[in-house]
Amino acid sequence: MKKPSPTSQQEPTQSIDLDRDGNAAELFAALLDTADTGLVALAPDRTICHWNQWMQTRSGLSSQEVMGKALHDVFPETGMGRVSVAIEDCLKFGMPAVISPSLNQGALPLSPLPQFAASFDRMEQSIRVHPIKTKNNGTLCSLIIRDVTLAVQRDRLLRKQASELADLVTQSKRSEDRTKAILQNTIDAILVASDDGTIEPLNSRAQELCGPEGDPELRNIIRFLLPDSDHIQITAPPPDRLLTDLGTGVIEVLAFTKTGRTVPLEVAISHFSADQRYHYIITLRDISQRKRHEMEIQRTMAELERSNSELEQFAYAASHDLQEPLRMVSSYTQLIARRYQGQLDDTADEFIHYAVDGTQRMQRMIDDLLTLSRVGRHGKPFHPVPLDDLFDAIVVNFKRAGSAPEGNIVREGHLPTVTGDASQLLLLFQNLVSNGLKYSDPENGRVRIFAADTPGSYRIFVADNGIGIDPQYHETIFEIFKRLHGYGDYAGTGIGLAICKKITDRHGGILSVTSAPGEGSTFCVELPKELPIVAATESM
Amino acid sequence: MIDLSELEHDTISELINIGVGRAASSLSEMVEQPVELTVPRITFVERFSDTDLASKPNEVVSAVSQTFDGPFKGEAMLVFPEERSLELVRSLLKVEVPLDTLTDLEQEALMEVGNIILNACLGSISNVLGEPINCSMPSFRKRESKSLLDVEGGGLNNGNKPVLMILHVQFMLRQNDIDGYVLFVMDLDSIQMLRELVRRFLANSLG
Repeated sequence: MKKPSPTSQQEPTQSIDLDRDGNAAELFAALLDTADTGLVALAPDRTICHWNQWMQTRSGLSSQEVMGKALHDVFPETGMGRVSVAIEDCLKFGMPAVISPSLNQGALPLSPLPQFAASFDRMEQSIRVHPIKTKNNGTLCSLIIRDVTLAVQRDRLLRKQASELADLVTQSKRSEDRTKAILQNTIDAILVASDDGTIEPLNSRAQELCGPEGDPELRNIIRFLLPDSDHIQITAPPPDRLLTDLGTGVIEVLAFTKTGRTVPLEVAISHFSADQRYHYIITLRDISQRKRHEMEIQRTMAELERSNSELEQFAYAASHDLQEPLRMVSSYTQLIARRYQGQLDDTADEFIHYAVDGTQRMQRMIDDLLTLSRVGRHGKPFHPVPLDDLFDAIVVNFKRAGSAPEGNIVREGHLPTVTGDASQLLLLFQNLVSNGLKYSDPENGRVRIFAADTPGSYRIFVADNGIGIDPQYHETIFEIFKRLHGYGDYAGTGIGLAICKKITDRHGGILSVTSAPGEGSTFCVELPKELPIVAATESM
Repeated sequence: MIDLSELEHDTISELINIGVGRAASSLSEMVEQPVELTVPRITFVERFSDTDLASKPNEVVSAVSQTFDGPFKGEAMLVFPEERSLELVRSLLKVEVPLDTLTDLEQEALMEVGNIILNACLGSISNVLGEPINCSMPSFRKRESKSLLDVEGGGLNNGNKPVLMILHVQFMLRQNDIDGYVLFVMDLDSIQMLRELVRRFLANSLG
């Protein structure tokens, strides 16, 4: 250091020549204290010979406390491996060094600024180690320490956000892939049309049908079907390509594949608006399978109808034609019975009785068969039938025939008005009531009639207190000629319930029974409130 | 021109390998994972265009460079293709979310890695040959490889044709190996001085 110039301090206006200034060392130290970085100088013997203000503040150690000590004595708890090596290299070989925060987290134990204290234990530091040659050929080592905690915090934030962004991209990509896969693998062809007439196939099936390899007419048909296509040139498609069922609103079109196959397609159109424009989503569903099934069903129905009517024809003809010879047999056996009663021996009388009885049963069976065949053949149109009136008529009929004691047919509550063939409904309920009475004790037999309402149907119950039916026969009793008892026990042809069932079927209803032996039987006729199409058309 | 005997060549190789060995152990300690560094090959070329790096002139490379001054002077640099440098820093720092470019902090880490390796090489040479070398602080550059040696405002390359000593260095890390180069760019006088020093060293040690 040079001798102080006596004038330099007294002449503040004069420019200061630091080299000549006696307080140069103090001045430099003061200058270094203003730096916003840590400055440490180490002597060749590794002891600290400078420690600026910044270092004092951040380490909490005053210059007096550290001067003359080695760095590892000041910070004993720190390994400082890299820092020590760098200092050593610097002092020994004059090598400068960069000590980065990423590779050496918190190289020196310095506190972070209070705002970082929550997330950082130590200040993040970027350190430079410089050799400084002294005049007498010695080497000092300077450490310049910068606080880069803020940069590290920003870097972490950046990485966190980048990672979140990457996750988001992955997620949306995955969801997009999924949507694409769903669209691609949908069996239906899906296309989108804009109001300017462009039609874009969205999946492979659509590409197959409407792409360059597909049916060129199909795009034209789609344009024709779109509602808002006034300003686009439209040519009407050939009429045989467009099948619109006006009744159901289902649009079906025919497409031709390159191989010449005809594919019936059901068209569904929905719309959405995007970018202030209208777009239509067109879904084409291949209904070849359904069409095949429909045709099969139609064919089967026709076949069934034909064989049914043939059968009815046969039953009618048979029973009708059987009546003629039977009447002959019947009249003559009755004649024999009248004329020769008691004139032959007892055995002959008995035989004649069997013959007469047989012909009478046969007659009844043929009558019932005729009735059965007529249910289908000679049905009358359906009308509203008030069941209260109908049962009034039934009660009158039974009284007139004298087959029922007073008060054994009980009506509980009001009966509904149903839609049907009045004479057939009369036959149905008369049969059910008559059955109820037949299988009951003649003295105490009682038949109750009552109704219940369901949302879609009326249920009319005919309940008796008779012998009941074993559950195993609940299904079979409605079959023709089915009898559970010998003829001698209970009279009947075994056709009654078959007729009831056929009438119920014709009205679109269900006939069922609940019963147990000895506990009476309850027959339930369930008639729909709305007639099914089959029953309605049949009744026309 | 660069007529090194086999022995001289081997000696330089040896010096360099001592240096990088030391650098590798420092790095291993710092990143707490095994880092091995080898120099499989040292070549001397006269023109940058003769180097492997020049085969892809438009490839962007990252370089950490330190100039040195002493009996022989020049510039030492650790050079990686940019992608390799990203890979290196990330595997050293165990970064989980790589960004597209080096961040400032990653760049500084790369500078430190370069500093450690270059210091080690230069230190080793200086130490063994008994001649002190003054080094500058490392600086970082990123540019196309063809303009790697262009110096703003001229300088080193002016007048004197540079000679390149090229060390092919290989980092062997846990997951992968990363190849880079250490370049010593010196003028002819310096390289001859280096050779002279090596000869003197050999003469001394062989008696």
